[in-house]
Amino acid sequence: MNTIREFKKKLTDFYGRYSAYADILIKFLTALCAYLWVRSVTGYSAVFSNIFILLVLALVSSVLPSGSIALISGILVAGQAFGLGLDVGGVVTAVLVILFILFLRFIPEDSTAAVLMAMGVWFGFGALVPLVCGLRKRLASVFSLASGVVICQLVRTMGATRESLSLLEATAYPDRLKLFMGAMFRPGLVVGCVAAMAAAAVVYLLALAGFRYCLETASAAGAVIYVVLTAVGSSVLGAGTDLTAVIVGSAASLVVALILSFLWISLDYKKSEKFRIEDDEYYYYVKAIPKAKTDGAPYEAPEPGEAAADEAPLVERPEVDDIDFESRLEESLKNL
Amino acid sequence: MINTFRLLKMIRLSRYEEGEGGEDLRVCGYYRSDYIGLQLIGTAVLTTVAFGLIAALAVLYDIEGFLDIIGDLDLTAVITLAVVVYAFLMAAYLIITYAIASLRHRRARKSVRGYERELKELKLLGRRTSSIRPARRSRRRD
Repeated sequence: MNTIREFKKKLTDFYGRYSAYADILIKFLTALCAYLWVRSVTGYSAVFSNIFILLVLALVSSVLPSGSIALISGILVAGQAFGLGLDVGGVVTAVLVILFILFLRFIPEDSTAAVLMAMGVWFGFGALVPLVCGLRKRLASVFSLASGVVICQLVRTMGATRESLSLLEATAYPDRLKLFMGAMFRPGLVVGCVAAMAAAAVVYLLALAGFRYCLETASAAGAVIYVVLTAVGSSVLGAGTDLTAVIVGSAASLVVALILSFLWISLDYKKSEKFRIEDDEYYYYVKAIPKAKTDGAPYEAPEPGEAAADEAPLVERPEVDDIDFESRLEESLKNL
Repeated sequence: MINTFRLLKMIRLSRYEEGEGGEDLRVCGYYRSDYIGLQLIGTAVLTTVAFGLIAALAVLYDIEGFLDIIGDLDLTAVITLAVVVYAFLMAAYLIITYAIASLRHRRARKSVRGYERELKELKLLGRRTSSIRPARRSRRRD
């Protein structure tokens, strides 16, 4: 355990030292992964599948606010959809605009979670992003999660209906639209949205509770809720979800979420203390949980004399001895 | 000599302005009522667009069936239903927008108040330093 904590400390130190570059690099890699994912699962448009264009877009995203990743991903998905036909492109663009207006507009800082959620659902780790969002205590991001499920469904539908659409005439708009939208708005969409939102909300509420090992319990409860709601929803609505894949994916998501929660925050519950303080109006029942140390030794405040001698003083002391108070007093009296 | 305390304060303020504080400062550039009003107008326009798109998608899903039954439809009932759904959607989003905008403005005010306090401290710090300098110079002249 100590080794992991030391690794965490090194990682934190490294990030603290190079945070400016690390942030840009993380954004670049996230953007590149998202754009390459869109390219790999669609690839209907030569322009929007061009790797150099995607690299340039990822570079641009790395210096823009994080919301740009979701925006550019949406443009790429819409662009790829136009490769299947004008009608499909129009429907996909309309759905993305509706998602933006109704959900993502209110939470621009969490919109990247929508793209990550879409990727998570695609790769079978549908519970991962809800667990992480819940642990990060961002309840508003449940709307991003729902948007992510819809984006994944859009991409899936584009892939699933591609051959059927190619059999129809390009001008047979009513048939093409009915086929595409019929495949798009399936019961599985609702089940996925509800399961992801409920899992994130449960994790958020339990993580706030503050009891012993609440983060771990919250993650486990979120994963269980996700599996149960998916199973119940798909059986009731006949969504036909592969439950084994959902269970395995949720278990893997739980492990990843626990590792991430350990990296963000690790507490030493054994040394937690409870005490009561009061003022004129209230009693305050406080529970203090110390952060886990790498060597297990308790934190000791340095002695006043132990302060490093070579440290420069934080405050420049005014050179009071240099001021001629007598002459300044005389000057001020003259003004009077 | 570099005043480390002042320098650290300036760095902190600059980071705030370029980071999360930029948005807060922009929000605080408006009066509360103006900011909320602008947000509500934006929401009204965008919700109308979203409603139009949802209605268009609903019609496009089965446009042939829709065209078949449009002659037999009770237009008054359809329009009433559309207006009720639109009003419900609009009311819901206006309430959400009002709540979010007022919360954002309150948080931004709180955050900017701290920023302004630090800015005042920085100015005072600069004034103190500059008030000391003339005395030093006059002494040297003597």
